[in-house]
Amino acid sequence: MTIDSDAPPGTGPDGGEQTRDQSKEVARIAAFSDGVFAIAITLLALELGIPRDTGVDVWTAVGQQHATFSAFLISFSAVGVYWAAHHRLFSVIERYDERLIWLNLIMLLFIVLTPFTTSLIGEHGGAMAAVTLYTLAIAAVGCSMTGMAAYALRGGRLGGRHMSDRMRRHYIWRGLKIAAVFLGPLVLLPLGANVIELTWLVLIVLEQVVAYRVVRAGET
Amino acid sequence: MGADADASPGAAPGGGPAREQSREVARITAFSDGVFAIAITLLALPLALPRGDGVEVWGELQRLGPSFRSFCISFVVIGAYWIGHRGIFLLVERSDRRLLWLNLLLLFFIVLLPFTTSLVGEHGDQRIAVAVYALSVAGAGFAAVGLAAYALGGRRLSSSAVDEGEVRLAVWRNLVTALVFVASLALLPLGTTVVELSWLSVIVAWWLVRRRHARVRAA
Repeated sequence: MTIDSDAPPGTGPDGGEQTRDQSKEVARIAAFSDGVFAIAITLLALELGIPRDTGVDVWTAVGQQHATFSAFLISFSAVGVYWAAHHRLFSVIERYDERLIWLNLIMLLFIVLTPFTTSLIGEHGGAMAAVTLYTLAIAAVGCSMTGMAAYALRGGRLGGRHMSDRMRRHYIWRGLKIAAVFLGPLVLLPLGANVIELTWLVLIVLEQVVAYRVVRAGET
Repeated sequence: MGADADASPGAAPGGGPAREQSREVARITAFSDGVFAIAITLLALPLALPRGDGVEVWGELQRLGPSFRSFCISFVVIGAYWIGHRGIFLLVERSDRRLLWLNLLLLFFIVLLPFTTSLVGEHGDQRIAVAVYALSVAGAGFAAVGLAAYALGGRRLSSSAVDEGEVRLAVWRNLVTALVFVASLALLPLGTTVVELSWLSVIVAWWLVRRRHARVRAA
């Protein structure tokens, strides 16, 4: 991919005009990403459904499909948490260059894959290959988000010049932390998919609480 | 970019209609972004395993290999076209009916891509599938170049010309993408695999365009 960087933006002759254009373009990149997040999170629900034919009552039918529903719940939370982190990250990015757009697209590629990998664990959660692939795809979102954040915020390249080091570290490492939430419980694989999924849900909530506290401490 | 301050829509004489025009352009780009975002997300839909118990997951995943390859190619292609669309619209300040239709023509090909991508993914050994895919990719590229030529040629809908930095890069990249995919059809007699491999050369083409762009800029 052609991701060598453009000439540093914001260095154009007419600084004011350039800056306004830049922030408008950053907003357009964020809006496009929001669109992809929104569609991906909605497509997650396509997997939900109970068989038409059977005579069993709805409650039993849902019970039989519990793996699909819990996979939906986990992926919905994951995409939601990633979106919130992406949203916060783009609130501090002020300029863009083409490399940022490509790094963002790489992250979106893994977001786009989540409906597929979710159907994997929903349908075949018993298979190790399915659980592993799901985990890797979800973690890849976080890893690529950290890559993008590091590119944008290191040395204030594309924003966050006046940010405290602590906050900058938080923004940069946030993606990897979410990835770790999913990668860590993979060691529980021998105990079965149910144990892993439960651990994921607990850790997602805990990570949210911790991140919220970091941001609050940084703002005061 | 680098448009002189006078040219910015807000500052144009008769601020009212100019602002209306720029809002109109913003609406076109927002609509197009929505279409791009949906198309790029739908690319993943053909990736699916058969339902039911007793499916051999690892084996089925390997069978998805060709679909996954075509997914990746199309993701990069749509991503690049989106970047190109952005680049062109950086300079568009007004809109008219023809711009709307040219833009719709581009979006027509973008919307087709999830379908043609699944064609190559599932029937990549058939020449017709490969040809239809290559033509749909090229169609989007030519439509984008047409759009840029119409809107920016002779500064019809813009106060800046096509040859300004980022826009020039966007137009050239769209053009070489279209050309690579059309040219790949000449390799069809050698087999569909050769054609599919030749598509990777689009990345080299982009790199060359960008290098030339950087050199022109430095000069």
